[in-house]
Amino acid sequence: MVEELSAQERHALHGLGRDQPPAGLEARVTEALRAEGLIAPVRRTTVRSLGLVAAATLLFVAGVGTQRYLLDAEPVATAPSEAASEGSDRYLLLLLEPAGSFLEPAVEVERMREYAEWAGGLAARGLLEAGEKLADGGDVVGAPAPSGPLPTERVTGFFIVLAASEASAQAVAAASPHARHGGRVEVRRIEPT
Amino acid sequence: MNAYLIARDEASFRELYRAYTPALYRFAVLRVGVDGAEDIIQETWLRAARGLAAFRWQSSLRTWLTGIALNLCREHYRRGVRLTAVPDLTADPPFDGSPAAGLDPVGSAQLRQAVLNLAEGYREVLLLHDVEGHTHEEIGTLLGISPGTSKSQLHRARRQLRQGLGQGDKQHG
Repeated sequence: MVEELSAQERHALHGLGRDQPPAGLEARVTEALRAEGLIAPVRRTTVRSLGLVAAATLLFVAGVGTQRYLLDAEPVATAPSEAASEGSDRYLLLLLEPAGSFLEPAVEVERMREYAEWAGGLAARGLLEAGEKLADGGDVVGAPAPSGPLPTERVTGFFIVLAASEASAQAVAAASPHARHGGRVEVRRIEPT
Repeated sequence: MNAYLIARDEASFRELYRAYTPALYRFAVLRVGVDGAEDIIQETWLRAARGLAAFRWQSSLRTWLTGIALNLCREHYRRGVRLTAVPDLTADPPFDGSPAAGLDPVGSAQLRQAVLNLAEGYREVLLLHDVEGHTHEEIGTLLGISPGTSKSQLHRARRQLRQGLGQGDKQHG
């Protein structure tokens, strides 16, 4: 059994850790990283756009269990698109999760890393066009829903990827952290306009 | 971290730096003093940035960064720059003795010195747990000990700290 601290002792010990980093340290550290090439020079994105991709790409990453992360990767410097040379189509990957599920914070961090790697890899190959998270809530308008059991899944986000074929798009989806961790990904080709 | 992982751009790094450096800096100051802490912070971020590709995220980012800083502090010690007193002792105002102000009317300088006088293993666990708020599981990862050992070390550290402050016979709740 651990000897407990009183509130006063806890406060006193917390008071030990009050030093703040000096103002100039951030610039010094940043410069040190730049000198080693650990901070990339700013480049304009070369993502092949189908008329939709802005220079700043938001990479949505979603985990099975409602936890989602928005990665503001700006600017995303990417290689010329692989798909561009393959006569690619655009595919919508709809991320489906069981309704009401959630992730523990520690798992959330790990999942975030996996999505970052996966989405970053696609972006670097010019295969990622967009990704967005969908907020909780929302409602359905229009005709009344058919009677029946409540839906057990919900769409929590989507990616738009470029792929040479439906099979290729499905392979991309299957390799996503969402699918690897038990989530379902609906793959739909986007009709060219 | 994620944006920096992908883009490696300065803005993403600075965001990361600002999120984690305050805690890392306090961690380093309590071990190597103010002067050494700046070098520890710079080297921590350099090593972290170099090692990101190999980082498996088996622990939280904070724990991982703290582990790097901890190793650097130990290297600092091995180089013979052993800290015998926290440098800013005289600069610390004493706690005022009010109910919320801490261990009786003990000065923070006195408290720092008492912490510094703890056996190294005790000091590490006490600082990691009571000052920086790490869990016993995280401390176990950082120090290579079991969570149970971390708890028992913390128990002894607190008792030794009270003895060092002349409060060993007091009741604490």
